[in-house]
Formats: sequence, C-alpha cells, structure tokens
Amino acid sequence: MKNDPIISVRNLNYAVNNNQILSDIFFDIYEGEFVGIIGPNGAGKSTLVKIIIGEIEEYTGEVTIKGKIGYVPQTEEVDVTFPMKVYELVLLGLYKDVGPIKRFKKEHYQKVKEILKILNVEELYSRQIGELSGGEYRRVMIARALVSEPDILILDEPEANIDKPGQELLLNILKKLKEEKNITIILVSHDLNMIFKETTKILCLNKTLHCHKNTWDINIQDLKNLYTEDFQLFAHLNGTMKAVIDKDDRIF
Amino acid sequence: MIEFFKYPFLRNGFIGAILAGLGSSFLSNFIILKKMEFIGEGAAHVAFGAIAIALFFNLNINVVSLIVAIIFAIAIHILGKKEKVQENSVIGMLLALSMAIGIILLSFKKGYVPEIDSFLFGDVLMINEEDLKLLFIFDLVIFFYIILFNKELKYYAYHQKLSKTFGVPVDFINLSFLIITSITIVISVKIIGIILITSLLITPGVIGKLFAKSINQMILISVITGFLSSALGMIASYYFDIPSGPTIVVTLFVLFIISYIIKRVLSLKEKESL
Repeated sequence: MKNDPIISVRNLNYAVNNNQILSDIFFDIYEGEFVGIIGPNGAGKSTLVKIIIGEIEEYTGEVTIKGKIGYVPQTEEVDVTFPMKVYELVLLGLYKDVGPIKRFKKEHYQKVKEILKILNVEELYSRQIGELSGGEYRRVMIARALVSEPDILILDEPEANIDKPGQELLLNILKKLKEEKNITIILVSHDLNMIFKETTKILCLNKTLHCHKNTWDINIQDLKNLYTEDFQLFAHLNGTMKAVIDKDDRIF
Repeated sequence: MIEFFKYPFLRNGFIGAILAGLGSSFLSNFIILKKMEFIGEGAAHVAFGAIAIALFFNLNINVVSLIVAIIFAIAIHILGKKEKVQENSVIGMLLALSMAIGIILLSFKKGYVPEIDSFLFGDVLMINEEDLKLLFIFDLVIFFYIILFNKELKYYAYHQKLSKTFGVPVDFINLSFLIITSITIVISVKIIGIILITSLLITPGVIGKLFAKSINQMILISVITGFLSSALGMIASYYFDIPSGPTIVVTLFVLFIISYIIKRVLSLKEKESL
C-alpha cells in the first residue's frame, strides 16, 4: 500500500505580516488513509487545509498533491436570497470537467442526482439554496465536494452547525465512502471523540506539527502538549471525550 | 408618439436612454449579487475626470472616457486583490481623485461648460450618432459576455474565493466584469447623469431578485424593468416637459414600489395557503 504519498508536504512555512502561522511542516498522507487534524483554536488547521486545496498560494516549501481533491469548508458565508437551486451549487463541483464557456451536459446533471441520492437528500435537487437548513446545506456542500469523485476528501469541522443525528449520518456516509471507494479522507475537527473513533492517523498541529502518528499511538501526553496554551479547551475536550485511556496513556 | 420621433435629437435621446437602460440593467444583476453597488458611483465620478481631461486638451470625450474607464477597472482589480485594501476603499479614493483632477482642469476653462451640466443631470440633447453606436456595441458586448460566461458569472457572484478553488477563472471574470461595467457607466453618464446612473445599475437587479428563482430569470426581469423604465421615463419627460434622467429614475423607483407590494402580497398568499 505504501507507494508514493497522495499528499506530500515538505518544509511548509506560511506567514502573514511577519506573523508565523505555520512553521516547518513535513508530512505524507497515503492513499486510503483516514487522517484527523487536531489542534487548539488558531493552530492553523484551516490555513493548512486552504494551502492543500490551493486557496492560499503565498506559502514557502513544497506541497505535492497526486489526485483530485473534494473540499467541504468550515463555513460558507452566503447570501440566502441568492437565486440559485441546489443542483446548480452541486454542479460547481464539476466545473473543472466542463471548463469555461461550455455548458453542463445531461451526464453532469445525472451525477448530481446520484450523489444527492447517496447522501439521502435527493428531494433537495430543485430546492432554492435559501430554503435549506444548516444540516441540509452542509450535506449539499459534501455533495458538491464528492460529485467530481475525488481521490481525497477534506472536511473542515463538519460537525459544526449540525445536530447529533446529523453527525452520525455524516460519519456513516464517510465510512461508506471509505469502504466502497477507498477514498482518502482528511478530517479537521474539535470533536476528539469522532477523531479517535474513525481515523487511522492523526496530525497534531499548533503552528508546527507536534505529532504525526497512527491514531492508536497517540497518548494523553501528546494531547497535553498540543493543547498546552489552551487548557480550557483541553479540559472541555477531555470532558466531552468519552474515550478510555489505558495504562500506557493510549486512547481508545 | 409620432411627433416624438419626428425630431432626430428626441429620437436619439429615446434610443440612447433605452440602450443605456438595457446595458445597465444586464449588469445590475451581478452588481447586486456581488454587493458592489459602489462601483456605479465610482465609475460615474471617474467619468467626470475623463470629461474634464477631454475638454481641457480638446480630445474626443468618448475616447478619453474609454481609456480612463479601463484604467479605473484595472486599478480596482489589482489593488482590490491585496488583502490589506478593500475594493470599496480603492473605488472611493479613485472617485475623489478623478473629481479633483476634473475640477482643477475645469477651473482653467473660462465661461459656461455645457458638458458638465449634462454630466451631472444627464441631457438627451447631448447624444449624437457616435454615442448611440458606442452604446449599441456595448450592449451587444454585454449580452454576449453574459451568455458566454453565464455560469462563471453566477459562481463568481455567489462566492468568489470558493469558486476559485473549484477552478472557476474568477480573476478573469472579475477584471472583465469591472472593465465592461466601467465602460458602460462612463458612456451612459452623458445620457442620464452622474447621480442617476447608479439607480439604473441597482434598481433593475433589486426588482429581479425579488421574484427570480434563478439567475437567468433575474436577468430577464431586470432587463424588462430597465427597458420599461427608460422608455416610460423618456415618454413622460417629453409629455410633462421635465428632465429625462430624473424622470427615468422616478419611474424606476415607482416600478420598484409596485414590485415590492406585489411580492409582499404574493408571499402573504403563499403563507395563507400553507
């Protein structure tokens, strides 16, 4: 399985106005891995994701991506009165297949229908985007990320703004995608429960990479080091985390 | 009506107002959706500088306006891309600069300058064949631009940064849209005036957005609105002998009020039927 990495990051540095956001980051992600990125608020998690997807270009270092990326942003500030239907928003995910000037074809509309069906929201197809609930909008965002059949799916805090059943459903969808398509998934999250339950590998990020291990090998000391500047958050996460910690301080 | 078309200047004014109305209302959709209403104000004031430069150096007003509009658009595009400077701040600064240059240059000119009056309030008597040709060409450019780049403009207006990550060429769309909009504004300013052009660049889009379920519906509604307000405004200004630019603006606002009431009634009915 370990051939060439699907994502390779070498000596990545990023600063805004002399304020170092990310320093000296190295890691590889291989095909089929389910990677969690964790870290306190302001650790640069979303920034790292934005560099990987190409939204931020002014970094130094090397970022190599071998495959198509589907991206679900943390939030999307939108005008709810924008006259657009769900299928048009999902079609944006297929833009690269069509390119400028040319129109979307029947097969593209068909793909949109199929992906909405997989996500159990086919009835939203012709709905105005302004009429969607938070959870529905998030699923449309996921549909938009998946419609192009990406090799890598990146989700930035997908648990935000959706209720518990919604989160369960989301996890089931992710598991299904992993099993059926061997898609590589990168999950940025504050929900350590979800991270420890589902991922195979964890990147601990706080401006620089504190650890980069198989999920099984992460211990409570890693988390303490990671959240050192953010005790309150760590306490909060630790409190909500129903994980069991064994005698070697490893987390189940 | 026949009498109306007997005089070439009235006919030119009528056609000019409609052409300006069509072009502006096409653009108003994306101006509204992109929330860049200030561009109208900005480009219209920049046109003042252009007219002053043309008058001072005895150059063709249209040629100078075109060049200045393109420089203005490129400046907003480049400076607006820098994170530290907001697009609206750039527009605001260039607007004032252009007015300042205009006023300084005009202070050297002795006597009454009729072009400046028409610039402020619009004057159909100022429209000549060359203006009409230019307006017509630009309406065609806008029409084909919107047809060709329909989906790009839609995604650009929806979320510029996000669309970029999906491969939409938003930089090209942003620059081309700014150039086309600025040019349309500077060549329309003569007809309906600096203060009034903004209403044609905003109100049709606002009315379209009230009813539309898709971008193309919105474009259709706004273009009909732009056409109607220009035509009705010109006819009313002739029969009541009142200035044409302001009459078009008042007509537009009346259309907006009527649309707003219809929309309210429709949504109340919808709620009742639920």
